[in-house]
Amino acid sequence: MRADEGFDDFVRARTPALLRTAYLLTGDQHLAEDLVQTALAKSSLAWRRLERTDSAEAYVRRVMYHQQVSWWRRRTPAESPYGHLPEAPVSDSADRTATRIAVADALMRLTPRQRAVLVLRYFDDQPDSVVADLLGCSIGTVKSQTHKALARLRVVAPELADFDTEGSS
Amino acid sequence: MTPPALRDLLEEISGEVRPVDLSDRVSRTAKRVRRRRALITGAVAIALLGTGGAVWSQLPGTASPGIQVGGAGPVSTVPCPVFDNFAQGGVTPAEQARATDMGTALCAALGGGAKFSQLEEWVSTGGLSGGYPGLVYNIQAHHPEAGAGNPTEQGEIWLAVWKGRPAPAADGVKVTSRDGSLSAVWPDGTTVNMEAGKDTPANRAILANPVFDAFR
Repeated sequence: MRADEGFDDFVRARTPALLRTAYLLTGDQHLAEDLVQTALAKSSLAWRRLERTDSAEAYVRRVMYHQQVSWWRRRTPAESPYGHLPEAPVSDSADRTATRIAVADALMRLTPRQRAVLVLRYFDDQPDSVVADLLGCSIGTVKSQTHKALARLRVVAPELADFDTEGSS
Repeated sequence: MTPPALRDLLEEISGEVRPVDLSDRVSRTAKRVRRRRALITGAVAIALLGTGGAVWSQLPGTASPGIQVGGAGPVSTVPCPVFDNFAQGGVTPAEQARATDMGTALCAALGGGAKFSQLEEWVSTGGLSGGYPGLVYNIQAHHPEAGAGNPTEQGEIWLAVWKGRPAPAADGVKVTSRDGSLSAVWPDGTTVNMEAGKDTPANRAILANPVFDAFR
């Protein structure tokens, strides 16, 4: 099989999952598509090595997370990641849909690194050590970023108070 | 009511994305990148023939640490594959040329494209979210393996260049390590910041390259 065919197969097979992650990182359909497209195109340059070492998926995801931070830096010069969050948009009787919308909105108000930490830990189920490696920071930073990000989410979704005890290490 | 798990909510949110086939788009972009890379490689080969062995053309008035000329020691003949991003309105051709010069110099200083998988150049006219106002040049090199032997602990080297307060009394460029980053300040106020840069002689030499004094 030609190397290009292997890459094409990888793109077709993994795009749906990568798009879901990218959507969590960007909160926007078109930005998610652009992010995955860019990450895959960049990864194609190193495809032979990635295929040999069976590390393509991890590499693409690493590029995605770093690319997202880069885009945020250049596209949102006036953005304040800790801007004005609604204090209590969800009442005690709020249904799950309202919670989901509130959390999705709150995710976009986090810094890209905090968002990436949450996605890696709670969506991709990665341990702190892997998150730290992927994002190029220490495990302590991962823990502190997680703590801050969860605190921000709890402001808009207080009923999620227990979610940080689930799952991830 | 049982509190919903964050994982379940993220699963639901991610399910809102519409599935699309990106194969053609990725293929076109990848081909464009490879074509550009091939063109650069060809240009370097021609330059090699013309200069009798100088691997990287040195910019006027610059010192380029890590560049080997005339076959003395290991050299890289592989240029960094470049992603230019000058789409933002208001970026002049001169500013684009500056960014390209800086990218070329950084690539050479880092050992060429054999070691770094991607070089990005972009110019922000509206500052950056870190609080730097005005025009900011951004030169970013990605390397697949972070860690020992690389200029930063991260998977990228990001140089941000902006105009700070002039320091006319200063004698040449001053390089300092602060807040985990390595920064150089030129007398005219040009500031070059390597985020998460290790404080090493090689990194200091990179930042002290006059090509990064972009506002002079």
